[in-house]
Amino acid sequence: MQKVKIKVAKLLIFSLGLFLLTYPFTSSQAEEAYRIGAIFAVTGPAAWLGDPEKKAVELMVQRINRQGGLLGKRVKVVIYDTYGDPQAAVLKARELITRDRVMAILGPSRTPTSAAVMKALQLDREENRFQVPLVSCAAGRILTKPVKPWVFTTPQTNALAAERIVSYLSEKGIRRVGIIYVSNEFGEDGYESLKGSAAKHRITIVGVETYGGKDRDMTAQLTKLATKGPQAIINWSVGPTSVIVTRNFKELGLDKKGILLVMSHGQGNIKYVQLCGKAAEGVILPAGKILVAEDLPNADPQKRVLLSFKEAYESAYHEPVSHFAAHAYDALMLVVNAIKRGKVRPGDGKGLKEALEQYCRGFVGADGVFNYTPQDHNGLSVQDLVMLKVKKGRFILIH
Amino acid sequence: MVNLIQYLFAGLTMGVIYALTGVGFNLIYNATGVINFAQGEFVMVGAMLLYTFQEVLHIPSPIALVLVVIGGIIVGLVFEHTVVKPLMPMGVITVIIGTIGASVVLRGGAMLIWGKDALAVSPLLSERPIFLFGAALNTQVLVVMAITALAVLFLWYFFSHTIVGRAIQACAMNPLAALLAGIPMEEMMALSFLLSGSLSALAGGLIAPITLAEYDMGTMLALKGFCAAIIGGLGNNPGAFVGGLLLGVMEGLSAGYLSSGYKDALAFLVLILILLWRPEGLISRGRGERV
Amino acid sequence: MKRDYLLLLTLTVTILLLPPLLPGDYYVEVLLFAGINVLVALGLSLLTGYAGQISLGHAGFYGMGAYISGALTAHLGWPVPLAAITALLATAFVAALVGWPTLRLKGHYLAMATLGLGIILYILFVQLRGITGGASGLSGIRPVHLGDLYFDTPRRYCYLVWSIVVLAFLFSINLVHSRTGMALRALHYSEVAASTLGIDVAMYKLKVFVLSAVFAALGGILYAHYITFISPETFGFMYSVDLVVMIVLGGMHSIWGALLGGTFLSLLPEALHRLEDLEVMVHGLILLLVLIFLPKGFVGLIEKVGEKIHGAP
Repeated sequence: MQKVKIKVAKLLIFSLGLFLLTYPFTSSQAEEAYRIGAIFAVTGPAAWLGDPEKKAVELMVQRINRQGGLLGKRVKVVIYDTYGDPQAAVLKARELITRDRVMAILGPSRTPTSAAVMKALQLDREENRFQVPLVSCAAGRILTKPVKPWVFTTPQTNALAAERIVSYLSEKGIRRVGIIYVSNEFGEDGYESLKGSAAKHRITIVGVETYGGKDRDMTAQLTKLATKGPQAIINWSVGPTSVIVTRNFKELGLDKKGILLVMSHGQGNIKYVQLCGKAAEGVILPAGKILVAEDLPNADPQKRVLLSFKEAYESAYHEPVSHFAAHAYDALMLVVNAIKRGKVRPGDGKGLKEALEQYCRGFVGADGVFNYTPQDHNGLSVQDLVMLKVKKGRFILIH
Repeated sequence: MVNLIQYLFAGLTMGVIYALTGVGFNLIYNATGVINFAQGEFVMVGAMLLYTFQEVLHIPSPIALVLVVIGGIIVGLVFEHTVVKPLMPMGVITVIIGTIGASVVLRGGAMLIWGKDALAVSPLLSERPIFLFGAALNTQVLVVMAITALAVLFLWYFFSHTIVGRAIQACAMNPLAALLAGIPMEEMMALSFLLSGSLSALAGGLIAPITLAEYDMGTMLALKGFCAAIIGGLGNNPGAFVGGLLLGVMEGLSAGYLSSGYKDALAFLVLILILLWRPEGLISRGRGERV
Repeated sequence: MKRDYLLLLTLTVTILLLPPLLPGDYYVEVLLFAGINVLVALGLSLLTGYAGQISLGHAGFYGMGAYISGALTAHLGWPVPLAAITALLATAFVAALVGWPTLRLKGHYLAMATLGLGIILYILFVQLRGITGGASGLSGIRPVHLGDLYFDTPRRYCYLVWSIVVLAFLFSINLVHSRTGMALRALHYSEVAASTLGIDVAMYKLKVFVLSAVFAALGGILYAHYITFISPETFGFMYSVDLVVMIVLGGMHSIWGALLGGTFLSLLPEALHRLEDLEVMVHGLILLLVLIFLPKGFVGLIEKVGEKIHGAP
């Protein structure tokens, strides 16, 4: 018995030692650099969201430093993991500000973690102790409506996506829709936005169903929705649940009954289509232009930016680029742009905030063309979303 | 009517998944008295292995499934050897916490190996569902159900009609007496982990086409599987089977007729009521002890 | 008993001196969150050590405290103390409702029932959107203040949290050494013996269970009024599991296990987070190592060292 214990212990210690060897040592920073922090849900239930975000930031910072840095100084980025947990996010944000002395924080990835950081650090008040802007990669309305002095966001909001979908459906003569959404902050916010847009375009919502983020069968909800006679079913979710909804929709043969399946802009990359297989054919969704960068007309101002980022990302990581990577790309590049054009000194968070509001008008990013102003800290418009359809396993633009 | 059947099918789909996980719980609980919190991770490893064998290495499905079962046996035995055996002398609760630690290790390891995105695995028979009474049913559900029923039958026979099976049960009922009767306790314990590991890995391989394979799918499975086992009476294999199906059907019906937002809450409310009404589980001969 | 009071005094002095010595707000905040974890774990350790029961739903009680107190201040503008007391009473009531029938059963039925309760409560936090703000979270929670003194910096709030932790320990020590406590310990060893002594076993178990739920709710209240924003994922099943891990690592046979285990598990992610993707695995390995080498937890280790120094007890 004792022998077994010692053997096991040896094994465990050995493997632990192996891991600790790979422990990345943080270099000392004597030189003056632009220190920027980032917090993403790199592990945990939203890891598929935080992982590409982290990769995008690391990639771009490397590129900037290779090209001579920012205003002649290096950019130093410190990235921490929130595990998707609000309490951890608050701690890491505090660590970034008080220990790593960053001048801006990119992220967090999700709305509740972003809101917790905003509240705990009082970034929703003009006067606070830290004077560090937060450029969040989350889309919830709590972050930008009404505008919070120190909080900026990069993704297209649910309100924009809902408006894009509903106006498209309205053009196609669809009057009755059913809604199904995942019961998390993203789905909930999407549902509220859809309600607003539907009322505006006089479209009737015939039924509403929800499911949990870990549910793996939605046939019951879809069956119930279908009995209410919708012309289209709109699903609002991100991640694997949207794949299950798409598959179940096809299994039930609802497409053959003439119902259209519409997804939210949460289906941020081609992996969604690959996971769905044939079931994704014919699905319609709004999306940022990054998913169809090659197909954009040459006159589109974003095309060059998108192709360059996409190529860099895909050759560095050997995986398709996603919306999520684009959110983080924009968060970093907006900060970099504001520093460059506003000649902001390292460590000057207040100057950076003002520069973000002043010098980021017409900034061409990956998620769209940003127009940050003191009254608008999201700065995107409906034009930044395009409607796509899945055809033969890829996204195509529908005009 | 068609709707009712469709709701039942939705329930059955998840129900068989809960049932299979619940039976895996029981196998370990019966032999050791331990609630294995890593049970869901056993299933996850099975799903991931099938992805590797079938989708990456393109091994034909039946052979891939056999390999998955072998993988599950290895996971079960290594788990028993490194976690359970050293902790057993310190009491059941310590072992249970050990299984929590081990589940974190398995989850973390799977994340490093297979990444953070969900992975798709193609089904055994066909992607197209069959239609029964006008309602659609995923063919993979039929496969899972058939294999689960076979497994439960096999286990029932094994535990009630073979010497080894009876010996395992004896270990659980009265360890001292079993030891005195000359039953090799350690081998029996290893055997039950082997059984549970292989069954769970098989379960993972079978359900992956329905649920996708994901490194953190285990938590949800363990939770629901554990509930299935409780509803059927902890330790009772046919009970877990029925309990799982019941839990799934309850969810399906409440999503269809009551509220999809509250369907899990309703299922767990029923769980609590069952605990109060029949603490020994729905399917059980004996009565619970009251103080 | 004397030893417990001495330990408590040491803890108090340490906590008084520690925040100013820490190099920055980040460390103070780590200490603050550790305090909240210790408080909730302390309740659970009373339940385990003195009623022989495990709860797998304490995250639900933690959430009840946070949501009820938070919502009352956010929606109705109640003063924090009044909202907090209401939250504590409501949590106690729910705990009693679930504990009363289940604690009469022998075996680990409480664990299973609380598991279900925790999940039901979590779903309510998500679904009762009018009250809880749903999955998007509840904002507008009022901060704690005494007149003009606002507890809105990590340093001040840290002192507030740890004073409550110290009071909770004081209360627990008295409980442990009271007649009730002796009875509770007796029943951990033998329920039959305890009941022949004329002790109403089920009633004592229920009292301890309710008390532990109240400690959890208190932790939730402290959390909610510090961040002033709460959302459901903080109160999920995994936190219930973490709590059980805390008391086992700390040492289940002593209330001081909650202090050591709670602090350890709060510091661990902070120590490991530079490992990036390896963190999850290393975290699990460390839990296993502690279990294998310290079967009686950190308290057991300290006791052993103490025995070595002082010779045989």
